[in-house]
Amino acid sequence: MSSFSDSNSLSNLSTSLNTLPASNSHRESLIFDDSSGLEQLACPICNECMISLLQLNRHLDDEHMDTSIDQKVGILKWFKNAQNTIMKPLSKTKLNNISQLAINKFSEFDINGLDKQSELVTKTHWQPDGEHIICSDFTCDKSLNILNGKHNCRKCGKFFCDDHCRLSMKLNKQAQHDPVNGYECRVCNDCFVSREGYLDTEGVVRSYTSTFIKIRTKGIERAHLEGNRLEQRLEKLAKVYATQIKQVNSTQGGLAPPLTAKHRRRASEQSIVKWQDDASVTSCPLCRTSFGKITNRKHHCRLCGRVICEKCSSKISLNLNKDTEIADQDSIGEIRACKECRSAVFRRKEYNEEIAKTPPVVMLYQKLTKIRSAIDSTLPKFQDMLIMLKSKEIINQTHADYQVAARTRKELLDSFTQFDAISKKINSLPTYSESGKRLQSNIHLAANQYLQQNMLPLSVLPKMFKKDQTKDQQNGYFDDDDDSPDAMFAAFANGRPRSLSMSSTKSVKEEEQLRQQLEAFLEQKIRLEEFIQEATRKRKFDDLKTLKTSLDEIKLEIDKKRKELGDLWP
Amino acid sequence: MDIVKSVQNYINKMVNEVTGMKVLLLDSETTPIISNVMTQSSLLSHETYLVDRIDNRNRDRMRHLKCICFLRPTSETIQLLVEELRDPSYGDYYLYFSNTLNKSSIERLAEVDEHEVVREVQEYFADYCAINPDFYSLNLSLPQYKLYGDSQNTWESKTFQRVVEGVLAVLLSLKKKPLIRYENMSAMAKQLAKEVHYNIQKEGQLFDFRRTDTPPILLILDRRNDPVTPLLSQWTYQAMVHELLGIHNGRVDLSDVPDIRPELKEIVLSRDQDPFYKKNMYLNLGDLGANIKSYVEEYQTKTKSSINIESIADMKRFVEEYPEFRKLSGNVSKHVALVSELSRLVEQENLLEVSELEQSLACYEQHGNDLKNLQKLIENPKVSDDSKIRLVSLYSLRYQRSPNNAITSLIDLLHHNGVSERKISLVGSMLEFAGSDQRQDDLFSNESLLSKGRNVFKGLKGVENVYTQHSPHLTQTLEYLIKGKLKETSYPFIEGSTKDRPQDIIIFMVGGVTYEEARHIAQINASAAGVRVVLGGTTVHNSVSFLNEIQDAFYRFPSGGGTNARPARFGKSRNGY
Ligand SMILES: [Zn+2]
Ligand SMILES: [Zn+2]
Ligand SMILES: [Zn+2]
Ligand SMILES: [Zn+2]
Ligand SMILES: [Zn+2]
Repeated sequence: MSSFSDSNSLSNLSTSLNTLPASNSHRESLIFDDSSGLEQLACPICNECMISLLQLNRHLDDEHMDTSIDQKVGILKWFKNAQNTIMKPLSKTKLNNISQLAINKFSEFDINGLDKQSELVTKTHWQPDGEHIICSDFTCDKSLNILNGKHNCRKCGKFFCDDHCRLSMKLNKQAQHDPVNGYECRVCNDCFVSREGYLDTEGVVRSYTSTFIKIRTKGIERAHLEGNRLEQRLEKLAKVYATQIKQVNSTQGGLAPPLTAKHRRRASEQSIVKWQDDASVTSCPLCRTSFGKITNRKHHCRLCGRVICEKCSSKISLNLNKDTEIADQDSIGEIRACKECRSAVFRRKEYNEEIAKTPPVVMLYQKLTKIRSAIDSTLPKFQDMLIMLKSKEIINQTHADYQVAARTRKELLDSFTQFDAISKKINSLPTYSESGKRLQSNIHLAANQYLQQNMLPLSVLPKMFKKDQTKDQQNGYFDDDDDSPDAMFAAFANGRPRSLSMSSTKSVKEEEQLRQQLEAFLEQKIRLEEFIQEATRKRKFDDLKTLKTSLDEIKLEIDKKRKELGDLWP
Repeated sequence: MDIVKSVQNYINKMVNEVTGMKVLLLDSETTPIISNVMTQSSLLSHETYLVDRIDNRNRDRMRHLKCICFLRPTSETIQLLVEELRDPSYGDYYLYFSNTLNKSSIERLAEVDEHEVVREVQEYFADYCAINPDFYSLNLSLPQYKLYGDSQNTWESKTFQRVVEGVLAVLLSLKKKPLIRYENMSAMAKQLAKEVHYNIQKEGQLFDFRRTDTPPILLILDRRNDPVTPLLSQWTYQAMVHELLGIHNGRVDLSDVPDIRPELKEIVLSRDQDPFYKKNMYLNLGDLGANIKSYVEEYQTKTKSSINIESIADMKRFVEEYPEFRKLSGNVSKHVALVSELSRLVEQENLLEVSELEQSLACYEQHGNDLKNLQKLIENPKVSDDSKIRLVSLYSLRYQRSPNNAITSLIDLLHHNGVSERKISLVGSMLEFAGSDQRQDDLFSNESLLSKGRNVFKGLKGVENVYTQHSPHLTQTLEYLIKGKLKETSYPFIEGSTKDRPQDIIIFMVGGVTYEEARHIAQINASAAGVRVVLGGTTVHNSVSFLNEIQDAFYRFPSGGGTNARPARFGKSRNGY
């Protein structure tokens, strides 16, 4: 991660959240931000790219008139986003210091030349003329007259002012976009940018996957053949060893010199694969180290016969039954083999064994994913219920719908708690490697990020559910035992550790506000105390008096806020 | 045409392709490509929990992870990947290459993949650094990439290959098959234009896009036609930070700033992550200061604090005195630190005075007055040697052709005031590199009577801000292009031609672009005139890196200017160039 600055990390994200002066609006935008930026707005239902609210309005009317309620939550979200972007078109309007002249230089447009050609394009779809027509651009409320201009967009037919209908694109006689045979026509911004492909940000992609796999398959077959050949040699060697052991056993009584046995074995090994001539090799073919008499001795690989060094070879144990893999007791001896032969015989087997091992982090991560997808599917349903409750103004806790919503809320909070617990467990798993540690802590980080993003929208809920708090408690309908998830929720919302937030009776937003105020007062108190010290030192008694009065006032305020918070900490 | 989105799209596609725990494996060139547009948190939200380099030999084996590789298909990287696949550290591999992959590389990789770990092999053309939505760079800087071969008219061959690939990647990621125009006088621009054209023809299938109303234009320019812009002091935020401190892959090194707090030694400037930056990046120092002040004041009123903030120094003190404030408003304090460092440097090096003269030299014909001011500044010990060289260079570029210019006496004056021989030699190199013989357009509008007359008129109109009068030559070229009035004799097409006014324009500047130019492009795009422009170049220059590139080149040229000694690095050591 070295190259990625940690100022992007979550801790910073949450600090900036809590502290920027306009923290509410910032938070709003963050809640629904999918972190890939939202200037380009997609239809929440079908994901088609939209430029303006006007266009979306039209699109929704045309395409999604009868969309079910559960999708309308998405639309609400979308509008929030859209509002945010429209309210703050930051870099676009704030470009100051270069005179407007400079900009206009580029937008001069010889639009009248176009109008002649565009006579050929159909006008049947034009918005009928009338008395008080205002510009159809969503951001514009000018009434159209000689001063502001009055133009039909040749594509959509609606009326626009000069400013919002000064672009040109090629349309055919049916007023459809046609870059090849069309005539240049005056169109509105919306039509201009909603041309097919105009806002495409998907670059070209070329895939070589199938070519790759074709080539690989050939290679694999060859490797298999080679592997099989070596495996056969290994079997033969095992058999040779076995018979020789028998012979040695049977001639136990006699005094067969061990050297002879070794020679015999070597001869039979060489009958299976021809050994390379010692003298012809001066350095190991695998590592290029040159051989010496004592320091780097020559060895023969029993599987390919090449001369190799000690380092580049290892012993393989011989088993008669080639299917018993683990049974060391069945071993009837071992042979030397070079790295390459060894991996040709065992690579696949070893790799698959390693892949099959599941470290604990994998198991826990699977659980985490499962809970996450449960939350992902429940959350929109719940938001849907809320909207329904709100629209029907159901605040009666005995109402069946209300109870369902309350149960779902409880479910969700439980899921969040579980999710949090598992991610913490993953973070604390023992690991052997640096990467393992990083992996686990990053999973934990991402989980926190997920909680922040998904629990924050829930902040509407407690407020609603606790509007009639006293009633809740009297009736006991609303299960208020779920303090811990709520407290956790507040902790995440505040970006503070859980222990600090203990009040579950205040709504999170109110509490947050109170805390901010309290913090501000506390800071001020510290500063006042510093000033008092300084004034004392400099013997400015008049100042001292006023300062002390202010300090007392602040202290009173602090006490008040603390009481409101039900706060216990000093 | 949003170049940042295009790169983000590629990356999102990579990390969305597979679910489960993932590691992202990069090389030295793809790392900045990604870190310029992605944040750690967005990678995390796509289950990408580790990011590592393929050339890191000490990676732990984690076969329960899936591996997304995003690599430049250079021979070195392919070799590293071959070794990786031979003994895989991870479970499954998804290979994405930032440019075209040749047949033999595919074969080598396929042959070595005996464990059958590779699941995907694809080309994703995110092969450049996207800085702003309309601004990109190929990040080719010394010492790794030299621009010039054995003269200022030839490419260094390795760099040329990289540039061709970079420009093709920009076109492919934006899905544009453009008509190509180039600056007629620049041999390098022409060679690039030809090679890009050749490759577009060769890869016909890749460049098969839907028709547009008017053909997109790729305009290839040469920095040498406008050596003035990168020599000027900058006063808008993004440009100023780069000029005075240097922005490298979105990061600014503040470690040499006096009394800087440890957490601010390296800061990140990200449009996506930092709304304050996004809002202020094109504003000049005055407006920026006001915005920072109100940012701080907003908090101040909240705490009902009584300190009266009058100056940036006050702000800084306020921030220093307030550990609590500091903790809470990391972002604000970052910008306060940055802006106060900028103003410190401006003050320390007399940059306002320097800039005023720079602007005058860049915009007006006022020989007597400018010469007097220039002599005064050369004698002023508070003005840095680098500024003096920049001023004399600007003077020489403008008055090179005037019979009574004082270039020789100014060089003597530089000597007298202790400026090193090596630095002084740059004035001569600059004239050889981009003097009036080397430029095709009348940059200073002083080469014909007509333009001289217009120039006088320009001076009479009065200005809003003396420090930001200059607008880069590029804006004029672009204005002609947009109006369909750019001369074919000066900017010919490589093949075909059109009289249509273009709607999509991609510019590539050989020899580097500047943030000042980027800002002007952003303004043109924001004016919403139905034209979209994307600007980029071999690198993003500030005056120091620009002069270094020239100096480095001239010391290597066989005909080379000056001595054979190793080039002295121009500029303040804190910039790390
Ligand atoms: Zn839709
Ligand atoms: Zn329209
Ligand atoms: Zn309008
Ligand atoms: Zn060896
Ligand atoms: Zn062998």
